[in-house]
Amino acid sequence: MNDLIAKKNGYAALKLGLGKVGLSPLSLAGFIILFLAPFYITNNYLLRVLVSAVYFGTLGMGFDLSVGYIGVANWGYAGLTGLGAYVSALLLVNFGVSPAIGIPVAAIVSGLMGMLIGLLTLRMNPVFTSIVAWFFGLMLQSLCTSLPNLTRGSLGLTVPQLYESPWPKPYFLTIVAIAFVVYIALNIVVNSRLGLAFRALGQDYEAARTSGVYPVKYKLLNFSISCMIAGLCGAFYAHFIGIITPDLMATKHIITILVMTYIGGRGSIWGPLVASLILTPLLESMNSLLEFKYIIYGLLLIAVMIYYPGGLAKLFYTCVDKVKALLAKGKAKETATK
Amino acid sequence: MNHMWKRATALLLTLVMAVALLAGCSGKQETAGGGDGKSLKIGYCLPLTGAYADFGNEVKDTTELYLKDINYKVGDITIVPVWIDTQGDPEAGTKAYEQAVVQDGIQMSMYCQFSSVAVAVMEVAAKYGIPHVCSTGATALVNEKWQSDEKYHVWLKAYPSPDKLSVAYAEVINEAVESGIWTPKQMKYFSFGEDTDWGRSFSAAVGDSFAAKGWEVVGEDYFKAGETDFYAMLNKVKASGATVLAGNINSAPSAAALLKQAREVNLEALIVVDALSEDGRFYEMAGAASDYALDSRAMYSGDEGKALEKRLTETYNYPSSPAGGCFTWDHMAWAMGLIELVASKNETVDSATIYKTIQEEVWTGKYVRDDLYSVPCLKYSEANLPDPEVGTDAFIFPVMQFFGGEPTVVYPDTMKTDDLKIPDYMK
Repeated sequence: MNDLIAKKNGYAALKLGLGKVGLSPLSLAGFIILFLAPFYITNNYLLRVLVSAVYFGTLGMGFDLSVGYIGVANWGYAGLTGLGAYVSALLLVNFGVSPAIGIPVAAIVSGLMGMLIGLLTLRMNPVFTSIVAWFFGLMLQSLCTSLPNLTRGSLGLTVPQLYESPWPKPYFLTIVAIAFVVYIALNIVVNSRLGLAFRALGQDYEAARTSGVYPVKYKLLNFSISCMIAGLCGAFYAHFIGIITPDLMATKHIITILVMTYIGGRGSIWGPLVASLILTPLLESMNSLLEFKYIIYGLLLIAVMIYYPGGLAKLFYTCVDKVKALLAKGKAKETATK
Repeated sequence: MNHMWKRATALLLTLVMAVALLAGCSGKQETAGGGDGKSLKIGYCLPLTGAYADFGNEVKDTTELYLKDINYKVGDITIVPVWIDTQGDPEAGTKAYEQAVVQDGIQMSMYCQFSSVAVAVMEVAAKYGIPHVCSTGATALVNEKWQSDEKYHVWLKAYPSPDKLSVAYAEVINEAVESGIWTPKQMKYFSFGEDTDWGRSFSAAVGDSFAAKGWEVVGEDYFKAGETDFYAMLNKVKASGATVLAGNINSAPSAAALLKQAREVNLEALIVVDALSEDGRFYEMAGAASDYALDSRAMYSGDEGKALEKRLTETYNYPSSPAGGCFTWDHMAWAMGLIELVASKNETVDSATIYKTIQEEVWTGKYVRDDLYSVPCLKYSEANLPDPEVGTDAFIFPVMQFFGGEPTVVYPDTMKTDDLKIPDYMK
């Protein structure tokens, strides 16, 4: 039926085709605009800010998979990001393994660590899972600190950068490519039967279980994918900034990701990325306000939580529905006139 | 009514976002490195927000007072300060620094607390060729980066590496042993430190300097910054038979807790708490437990130094610390002197001429300041770059021993006011 409609309508055909690879015309357009940004933004500072924005947005997309679908806020997320950073950095520093291999390996190691955390915690209530995941994050941070011979601990590990060029353009293109792959992968997952199972578990755990969804298996899968994304982004970060310390694993870093996810809209996947693209430059533009910018930031967050708990994603869908309703109304009027 | 509120809030939020975005992204052009020759924008990299904001703001206050004193002028050049909030974080620091270069057009930069931040910011400074002086991020990590590529030579440190700075403690204690002032029961040494880049580097370096003097290093312990429970560590020290316990603590409550608890467990060891006097309130917290403790820091010396301390304290209504006060003041004096030198040798003062002058006058040891409060002299030589020269006639912090919260200088001889004193229970 869908195919039939698609044949009649070019836009619908495009939508259907892109949908199969986890994209929509709007998201594709968005990513094209992002990819082309270095060609129309010549300000290197702004480009560096956008690297951060896409980095946090990608982390937010991964975080959203857990919090938005199975209701588990992974408070150990920063620890897993740091783990990815250290794995890729140490592979390069100690064994000369290229980041092209090190970054995917880092993602896998973080995913496996996420699986281990999940095996131990996902049978519990999501609140306890969050707390135990947080402890794991702290443990990872302490481990990195207490192994100075390997990680250089608090002294900091200098990491060779990804590119010879010190300018942000190649880093920007890399992180946008990572975000693009993550976005597609996550959309394919959430639009599949897996996503259905995740949603079912997040909405009504008992009902999902009664319907035959095995909770631990699906939660574990969800949690591992999410942690894998944390590791992937962490590895990129290490080769972008050029130095890592255990502080990268500190809980404070989760707050930024959490904020992007909640303002973007839980369970939307794209929401955190869009929120980060708006909020990161916004916060940067308020740098001269020092501590006051955090007050404005806090007020903004409170306002969003009160008036739009669904975040930007909900706002967007509400607008789309309204436009559709208006168009339908117009069409009905036209038909009636005829 | 509900709808009205929602609309009003949405409108307000949109306005806030729009104004902030416009303010941040308005058409400022990239002006990196080039000045108009009559004004010079200097970026001051400091943690102005976040956990280390207290220190960052103290340095900012001292810098502002110095600039007010010179009426923001060096000759006919107007100094325009640009405050770069690094938040004590490498990622935030690099972003803020790049913003200062690209949007504010800084032509020179100063400070930069924490080595991890310094190493990350070095990359951006090198990229734009911005000379950076008086960097306070000072561990060997910065030196490694500096030596790895010529492009990082735009960076100059205010502090020498910990290994160069830490020898003074071993010197003064060893002198006391050799001159018969103290006969320790055992030549055993235990090091401790905050688990930070500086804490680890410094404590390890002090340990090495004691080992080089024939002391047996019997243990080391690191703890998170701000720790106040040291009973476990102190019992370990006691069991090890160490007669010297030395390390670095930057938090005054933490240092006070260590000293008080050492008294409680009757620890018979001479205690070195590096950075104890960094916070002017340490005696209020530690009381008599700080008697006999050793520290090596910048200090407000002489009548002029005391007057500066009083002025800073009265102006800003908090006790001025030597690091945030006189040491910062000296950095400003050194940097403004450098600009004066650049102006005298060049038609314009910009990144390129500043860097050229640094290479010709600073690296070669020609530009020397010996009229400072915190150290006898600030000078550089090509053999020690990017560190300043260390020595009794160059960069040295006196080793002080405290009694009733007041310091007596026990090292070096040129600054010494008294011999090292050993408590009766250790004799």
